[in-house]
Order: sequence, then structure tokens, then C-alpha cells
Amino acid sequence: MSDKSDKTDTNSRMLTMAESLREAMTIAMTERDDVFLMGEDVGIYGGAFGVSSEMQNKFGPERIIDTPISELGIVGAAVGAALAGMRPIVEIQFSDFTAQAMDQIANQAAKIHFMLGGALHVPLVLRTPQGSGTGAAAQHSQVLETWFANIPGLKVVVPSNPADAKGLLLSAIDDPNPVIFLEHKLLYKFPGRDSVPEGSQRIPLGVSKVVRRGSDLTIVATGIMVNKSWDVAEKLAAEGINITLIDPRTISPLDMEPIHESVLETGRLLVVQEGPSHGGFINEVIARVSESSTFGSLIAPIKRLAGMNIPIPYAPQLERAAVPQVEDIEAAAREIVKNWR
Amino acid sequence: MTFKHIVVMPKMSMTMETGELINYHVSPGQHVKSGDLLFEVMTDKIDMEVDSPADGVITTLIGEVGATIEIGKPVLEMETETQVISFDFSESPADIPPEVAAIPAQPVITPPAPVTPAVVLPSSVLAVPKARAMAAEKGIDIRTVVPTGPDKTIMAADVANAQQNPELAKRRAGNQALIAARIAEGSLIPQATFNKTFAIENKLSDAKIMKTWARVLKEALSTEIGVAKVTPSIYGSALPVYKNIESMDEASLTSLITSTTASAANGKVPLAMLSGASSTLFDLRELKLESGRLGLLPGQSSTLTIGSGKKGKISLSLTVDLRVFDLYDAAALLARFITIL
Repeated sequence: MSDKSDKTDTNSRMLTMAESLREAMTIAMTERDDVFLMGEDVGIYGGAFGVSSEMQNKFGPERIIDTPISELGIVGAAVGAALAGMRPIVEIQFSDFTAQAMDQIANQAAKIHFMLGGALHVPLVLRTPQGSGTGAAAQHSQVLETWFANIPGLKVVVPSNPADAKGLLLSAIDDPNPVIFLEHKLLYKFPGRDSVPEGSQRIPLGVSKVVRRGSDLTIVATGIMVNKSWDVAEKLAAEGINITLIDPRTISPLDMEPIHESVLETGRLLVVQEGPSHGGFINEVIARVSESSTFGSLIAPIKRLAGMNIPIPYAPQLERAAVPQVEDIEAAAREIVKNWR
Repeated sequence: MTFKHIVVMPKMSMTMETGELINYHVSPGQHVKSGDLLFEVMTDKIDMEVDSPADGVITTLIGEVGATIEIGKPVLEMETETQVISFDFSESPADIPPEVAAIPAQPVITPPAPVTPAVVLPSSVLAVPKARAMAAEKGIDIRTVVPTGPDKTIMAADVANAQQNPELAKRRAGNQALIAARIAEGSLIPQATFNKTFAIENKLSDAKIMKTWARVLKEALSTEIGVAKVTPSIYGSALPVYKNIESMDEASLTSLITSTTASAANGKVPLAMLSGASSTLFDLRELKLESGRLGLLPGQSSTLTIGSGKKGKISLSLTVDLRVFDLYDAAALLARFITIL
């Protein structure tokens, strides 16, 4: 599969990810009346990270709804609205708080379509920030993508840049069933390397993106790790180490095709995620490579870089040390390519 | 046109080195059909009947009845009407026919010095998957390869640098020279090539393609049709011939192709499948090559090369003997093949 939809708009400009997400929601709400946003402080305050800033002025308090502090209530109301024919977007202030709403997410939203034999749909998008790096400690810094990826019936999107975030969010809103949309906090102000196309172009869910191509090593990374891996790839390219960088963008469903294709060429695979290694999403990538014929092309052991299996510490130095950084990725990439021929 | 073919003492088991010639069932001047009984052989394990690989005339009985004959040594000589691509599974590697050995285009292969076996080989070694695959392909015992990777792991590069088994190298060279000679001979045949790329919805099975091709040839030529399929093996390319397959059901043909391909990979092609080809088919789709062209082999009236083409399409290249096919009819042959597919 390829992502032809990405760069065909002629008019495009540089936006931050917060801006591109706002633009996607604004387009969807302009296109159709059944789309609305609800969450804690999404209205007057514009959301904890300013993603819905000024949107209430444009669409009014009935479509940009400030809710009480009750995640279970918010998601429950959204599931009900979705069943009644609306297309709600829910913002949960921190993904850590989805734990409060997990029954509605895992047992209701994800399953209704299937348990009713496809008779009903739950066109719900749950947007929520994740990740460390803001000094917000253990209860506000987790990467919980594998919680959701492990629940059949949910689609899980992890955008790494403003342009993808916009196209993927538009597709998520179109989707007839629940999509969990996980936004890294440090990326909200990230301007991205590519400009964001104007207009309402969608990026299909379940299509991996080959961010750059090289024949020495394949790196599969998600979210902010794509950007850290990009920096490493740039640096090592100057030394003659050429890296293929693949961003799955949606971790469920997972498009493995470009990953297999690349590993067949490079024979070396490094997988990077911010969440803890134990039970992490990257393990799924490794398993699928290992149980396929691609396995026979490996010329090096597969290497994982992931968060430590500890709650994210508050102390800034320890917080930094708990998740993969550019220098860790660089060292791992160098080690694999130099040691294994 | 007739061809000289020497029937040798076949290798019937892993441990067999010699066989005792019990009796002949033919005499010089006798006409035989492919599959007719030629002689019987006794070994310490089994007795076996050896059949004629092709239609032809017996010219000389070389082996003495009652004599113990080494595998690969000649037993009788015959003249055949079709080229027996004596894919070298049983002939001694030294027995490359002089006229083949004399071809100037033959690559010069200096047999490498024999590998000095280690006194005691370890029962298992550490090796990356690619190294094991390469070793198997080159016929190298992976345990003999010197590891230079981390933790004494054998890397792909270690196998690439390792000495190839000289016996295997000789056989490969012999087989390669034989095919090169036939192609050189075939190039003197007046021929024409036709190409076509076309979209196909479903992935075509090998059986479907072979069967259809045989059917088209049968319609055009009204003779017994054998389709040789270029098949990889440890001795280089093998050309097992599938006969009368136009009326076979797809499932049986698929299982025949699977078992023949597996056996060819290990250097064994049934005697009955070594001759009688009317056409050779070279399928490049597995190698993901878009297109190609195989020249004519003597004794055959066509070759068909199938490439993976561009997205969703396959490419066909048909080369025909213009002494057998009318120019226009040959082109129509390709069109007919596509129509049936």
C-alpha cells in the first residue's frame, strides 16, 4: 500500500499539530452537522493544550461542549450520541484518565457493532494526549496505546506530525466505528517537517508511511519516536549509514507490508516506541516479522528500544532516562549496522 | 534431430555409492518409449528398475551384467529425439560433455581448495537466519563456517566469505554450462518474441498458468505437450518437465509442482521429468522482477517468461520457433492464452 493522498494539495503551509488537528475538526464540523466535540475545558478554555482554541466562538456551546469532570460520563454520553446517529469527538484531557472511562471504551464502544450483528455503528473518535517530557509525573505521562490496540473493535491512531494528524483525524471522524486518537503532548507545538495541505484530504487508516528510504537498516517507530529517529537517520546518512524509517501511523489495524518489504532489503530491524517494552506494540511488529518468511532475510538480531518498565519519574533527568532519546536510537542503529554484516 | 544421451547408474538412496547391474531389458538398435524399462539394479538396500528418460533408440550397452558400477558412471548410451536436459543429479560432475566444456562463454570456475574439516564440529552453532539460508543454498555445512559476529555468531558475511563445497561448485558449473550451451544452440533457431502486459484480478497459481499454457499449446500443435518449468535447485536451475497437464485438475497439479519443486531444490528430478519438453516456462513473479525473456532451447518450439509487471498486472514474453509456428499464429497464441486466463 502507499500513501498517495499525502502530498497532492498545491496549497499548503506550515502548521503545528495543535493547529492541524483544530483545522481537521473545523473542516469536519463545517462539512456535516452531526459532528461535535465534548470534553473537559474544550470550550471556553480551548482545551488543556489549546487544540480547540476559539472553536466555541465559531460553532457555539452546543457543538463545542464543556463537560463536568467525569470521564466515564463523557464517553458514555458520546457512545449514546453515536448510537443515536451523531459523530461525537471526545477529548480526554490526559490519556491516563481514560482508565476512568475504560468500561465505556472497551466494553461498550468497541463491542456494540459486533454484538448486534453489525446492526448499529458507534462513530466515535476519542482524542487524547499521551507521553512524557512535560514534567507531569507518573499519572500524566503514560503511553497507553497497547491498552487500546489489544481491544478488538477499536482502531488506534498515533500521528507523528501535523500533516498526518490532520488527514488521519478526518478519516477517524469518517470511520463508522470507534477510533482512539493518541496525540503526543510534545508534538502539539511541533511545526513538522512537511507543510500541511489545505482542504479536506483524508489519509486512510491502516496505511504505514515510509518516511525515508535507505538500504542499511529499517527503523519502525511511532509518534514522537518517528521524529527522534528522523534526526538519527539524518545524522547517520552523513556517515554513509542509510536508514529506512517507517511510521505505521495506525497501530491497529497494522499495515506490515512496507515493513516486510524494507526488512527484506536491509536485513536489519530496529523498533522504537516510548511506552514500556513489556507487552508493547513493537513486540507485535517483531512477532509478525519473525513468523513470516521475512525472518529468513535477517542478518542481525532484531533490536527493541522502548520505555523502561517503571512509572515515569518526576525528576527531569530520570524522566528523560526512562524513555528512548535520540542518542539511544543513534547508538542502537550504529551498533546494529557496524556489528552485523 | 537426434541427441546422444548416456544413462548412468542412478543414486537411489542417501548412502548408495555403487549398484550391481542385474540385467538389461533392451538391446542395441531397439526403439524405446519414455518410461520403458531399460535395466535393473541391485543395491545393499533395494532393487530398482531404471526407465528410459525419453523416446529413442538404444545404441550401446556399456555396463557389464553382474558388474558393480559406481553411481554416475555410464550404463548405456541411447539416441533420443528430444533433448534430455540431463540436469545433473546423478552424473559425476567430471562428466561434462566435452562439446559443452569447450564452449568459450563458459565461466571459468577454479575449484577452491577443499575445506579442511574441523576435528570435531559443534552440534549446534549460533547463526543469523540469513546465514543459515545462504549456507543451505550454497551447500555449506553451517558448522564449518568461522563466526566473526558478536557472541561467536555466524553472520551473513561469514557465509559469503566461506568456501563453497567444491563438489557442489563443480556440479553447478556443469549444469550452468549445459544450459548455456543449449541456449547458445537455441539462438540459431529463427525466432520471434511477443510481449504483453495485462491486468489480472486474482493472483494466478502456478498450476493455473502451466495448465492453461499446456492447453493453448495442445490446441495449436495437437501433439503431446510437456512444459518445462525453470526451478531453483542446489545445482543451479533445473528444468523439470510436466507432461500432459492440460487435462489435470488444478489441485493435483499444484501438489505435483510443490513436490517436484521441493525435490528439485535438493537436486533431485525424477528421470521421467527430464525430457519431452515442448516449451519452457520461466516465472519471475516470485523474484518480483517485472519482465524478462528466455531464449529458445533446442527441441522446443517456445519459451514463455512471466514477470510481476507493474502494480496489479503481469507481463508475458513469448518466444517461438518460426519453423514451427506461423508468425501471425504465434502472436495469436499469446492472445489466446490471456483470454483463457
